[in-house]
Amino acid sequence: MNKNFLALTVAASALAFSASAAVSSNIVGYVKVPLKLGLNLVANPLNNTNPNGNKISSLFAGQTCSVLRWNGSGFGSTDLFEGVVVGGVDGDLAPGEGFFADMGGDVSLTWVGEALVGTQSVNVGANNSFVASKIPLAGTATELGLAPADSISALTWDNASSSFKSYDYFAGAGWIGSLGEPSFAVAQGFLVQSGAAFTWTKTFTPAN
Amino acid sequence: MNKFAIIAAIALSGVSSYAQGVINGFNAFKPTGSLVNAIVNDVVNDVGVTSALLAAVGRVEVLALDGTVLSSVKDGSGNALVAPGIFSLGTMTIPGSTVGQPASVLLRAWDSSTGSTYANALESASITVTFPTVGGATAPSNFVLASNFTGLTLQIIPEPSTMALAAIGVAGLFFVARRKN
Repeated sequence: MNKNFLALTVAASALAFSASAAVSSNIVGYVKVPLKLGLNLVANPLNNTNPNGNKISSLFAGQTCSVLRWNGSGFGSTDLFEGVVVGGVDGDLAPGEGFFADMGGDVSLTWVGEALVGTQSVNVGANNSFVASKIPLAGTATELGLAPADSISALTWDNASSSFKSYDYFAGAGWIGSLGEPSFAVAQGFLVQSGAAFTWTKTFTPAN
Repeated sequence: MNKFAIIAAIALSGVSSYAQGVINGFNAFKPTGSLVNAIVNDVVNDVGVTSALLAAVGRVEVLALDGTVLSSVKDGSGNALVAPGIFSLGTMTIPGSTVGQPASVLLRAWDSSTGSTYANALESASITVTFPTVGGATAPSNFVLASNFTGLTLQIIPEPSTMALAAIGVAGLFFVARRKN
């Protein structure tokens, strides 16, 4: 294996690092993202530094779909027909942002880019914020460092029922309610409802 | 198929999924300008102090204004609190509401040690909670952050026998007053 290039494969919701390989400052890999007919709440977990690498048209190349991004008060829609943007803005989808992909059928996309490591921060606003882990790791909210000072709801989207499941965090008491603590997959976006803005920070250092 | 028809179909599928208003029934939040969470409080005690309704006895339910129970427990026994004064009811669709328009629900709370249902509890309260612009399935309105809900305090509901005695007393006073005249 090239010592300056560690390819990491993210399958399903797990991220596996090769313990024997040398690790360069840039960890490049790919993620397979299964999307189903209808609305999927997802995120781009890898930073593609190629020109236009994080553009909607790059991530959804060849697809006919709509990408819905939260603007603070509603959704802005970017429509693609066979990969060509025919409506809305072909914006950048950087790691940390959750967004809806409204698909015309089931498909599995492969997204390529650098895994962000070290200390990464996601700014979560007051009221509704659609977010995701910047680091391509799967795990519980606690494992991913989501433990704010104030109460929040973390809502995960269920494609089959077209509705959210609400996981409620009560400051001082932890994850309460019948659903307990949420777990997040790689490339999974979710909605956070918070009374105040806060910074979600996670530090991750891959083993050499 | 015409490409615009495909795009329109996709767009419509998204729109149809959030046509009705949806709310997220969790209240551990501070209303705008407040320093305390919008909790359910027990009755005010003899010295005027209130405290959060205990989770062991507190029950709540959310209803549409037509009386339809929206929260998960539908048999009238209510949903238990998950912490003192705090409920966690998940997302609920308000029937007949429209995304972006005002919508209201009825929140009922009671002390189940004084009665198993809202109707027969001796300590209870209800409030109409209004969402000025209710969110949809893809962006539910938070029960506190997106509404006028600032909390709820239980009241002591007089028992029927107590009310009957009071009525008799009032009638007696009226009768005495008439005889003096």
